Amino acid sequence: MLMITDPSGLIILISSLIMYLSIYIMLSVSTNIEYGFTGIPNLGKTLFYFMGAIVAARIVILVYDPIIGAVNPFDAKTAVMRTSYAIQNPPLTISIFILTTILAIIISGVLGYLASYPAISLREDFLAITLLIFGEAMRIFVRTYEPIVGGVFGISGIPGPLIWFEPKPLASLIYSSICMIIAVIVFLLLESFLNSPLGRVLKAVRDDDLVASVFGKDPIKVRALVLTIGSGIAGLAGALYTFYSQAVFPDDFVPPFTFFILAMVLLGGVGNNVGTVVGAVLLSLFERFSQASMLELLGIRIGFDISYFRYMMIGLLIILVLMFRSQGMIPEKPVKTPLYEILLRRFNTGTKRQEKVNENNI
Amino acid sequence: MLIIEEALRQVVSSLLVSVFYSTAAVGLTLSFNITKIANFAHAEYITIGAYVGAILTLIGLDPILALIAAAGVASIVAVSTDEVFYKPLYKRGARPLQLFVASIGVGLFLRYLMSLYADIGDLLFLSSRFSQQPLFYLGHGAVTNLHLLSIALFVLFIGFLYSLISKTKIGKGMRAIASNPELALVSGIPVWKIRRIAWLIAGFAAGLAGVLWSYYTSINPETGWRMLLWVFSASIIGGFTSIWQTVLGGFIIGYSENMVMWFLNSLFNIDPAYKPLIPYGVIVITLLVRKPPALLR
Repeated sequence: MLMITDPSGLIILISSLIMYLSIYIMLSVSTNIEYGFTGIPNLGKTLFYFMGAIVAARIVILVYDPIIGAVNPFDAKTAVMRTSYAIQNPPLTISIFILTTILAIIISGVLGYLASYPAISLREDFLAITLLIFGEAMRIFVRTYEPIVGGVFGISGIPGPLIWFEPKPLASLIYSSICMIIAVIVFLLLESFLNSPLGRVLKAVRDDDLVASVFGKDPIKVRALVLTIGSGIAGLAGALYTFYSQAVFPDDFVPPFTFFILAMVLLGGVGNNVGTVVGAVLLSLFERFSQASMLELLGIRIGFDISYFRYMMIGLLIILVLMFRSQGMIPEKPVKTPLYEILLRRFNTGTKRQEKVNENNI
Repeated sequence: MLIIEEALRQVVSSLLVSVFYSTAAVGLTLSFNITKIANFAHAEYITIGAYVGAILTLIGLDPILALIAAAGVASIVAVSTDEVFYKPLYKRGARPLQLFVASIGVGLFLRYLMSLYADIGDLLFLSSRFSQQPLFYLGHGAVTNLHLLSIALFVLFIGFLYSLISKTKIGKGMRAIASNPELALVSGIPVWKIRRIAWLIAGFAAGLAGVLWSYYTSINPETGWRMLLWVFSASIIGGFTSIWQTVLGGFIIGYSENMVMWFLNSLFNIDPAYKPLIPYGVIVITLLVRKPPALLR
């Protein structure tokens, strides 16, 4: 039985669902191009996601604090001053938003490239562990070194681009829809990238990097490129999420979060972005509806911390999927472009060749 | 000399954690060599050992008996996770990467199962009833009965493992499987039996480290997970092949994090919360400079 009666509560609920879904789509699809297409198990996803969040927080501090004359950027008074200043300056909030998302992509991408350097020649599982260690090192550094985002207690009062918009529920719905549109654009761009000749190289490197290097493709360069792209997308997601939650807490960026994203990829389909999106939808619904606050809304009370139960189920899901359906719900499909291109080219040059192609393809 | 006395305190306390890291890391190295799984669920064997040991001492069992029982439970858990999860996957031809991801799943499952149990039973922070008594002092460092117990057990365990691997037929089989599993199977080595023994020992090592940890300080369901990256660092420094190098790796990690942090803290007043960064740095340096061949593609 639902206890939601007023429409604004419902709108906030829906917009939070859309928001988390768009973040999870971006993160899981970027994990999929690394893990599914190229065979790089990037367990340091939180590192790049966190970097996006840090970029957002730092740019907001850099722009607002000199104007409002804040002394300590991390205390509650400054947060209130920033928010009230942002409400009076809509163009400023929007231009900061655009600048930040672009910078977050670039900085996280560069970080991904740098992180790939010491790790790329390692065996796959040790590559994963090394990236996980980078992520943890970053988190521990940021939560201890206060001048970055305020240490353990984090920073709040990061005004979103639509903070001046009234009514509030509608603003959050619009913002989450924008994020969803960005997620769809990311998805479409990646699909066209993965169906290009370069996209086929990724799978070649994953399946056998010796063969790929025989054909003149440098596996190390390909892996570095994919890590750069994946990290850029994760940074974008981090910046977008920061403007939604309007706060950054270093302890949100822990390894189990990465495992959760990985579970989406494994469940939906390794090497298939459509499947990954399906996995992201299913697991983000599971995640949203297994929050204690959500269960209370539905009238259910439990005597223990539900997040333990959630992560336990994620662990079980990873094992079961690997044991019984290791290709995921929607298995990997062959790359589309070459067949289309070959068929079209042959179709134009004559029917005799066309028959031959058809025979070969059957 | 205050500085020397303080340094001795660090030396004495680092010795204990180094022993814990080394013990757990030896188990990890062993199971990695036999199965080629970089086992993330190793952390959970540590936690299970710690919890079982602490609970057994709390209901009044003798610490030594509790220790053996808890390590036994951890090794049974290790064998059963292999029988239920890893072995079927391996037989279906799963690649090392998939086995690694499966071990993450197993780890998550076990860790949060224990968290649920601890949350419901109100055991989220637990201290065992082992009382540490100082035997004598080195500077400011108190050498306790726990030091004696841990080091004795550690030496016994390493000695046992060394003689098992170098002297017995089982050890010969282990070395054969480590270098080439298919060839070992073809030449009639009881691969599955040896695999079971390896998991038993790996679980026992992790459980031992866990129980000793629970005697040392208070525990929570994340104890093993917090230790895991340190244990991995020790094994990575050891190149994931040799037991002696892994032991050395454990001592390098244990001493570097405490001594270097103490040094930086007293000289440059650096916050001890940065401590985890030291082993991480050591790992990166190892990977860049030493390039252990077992860890490369």
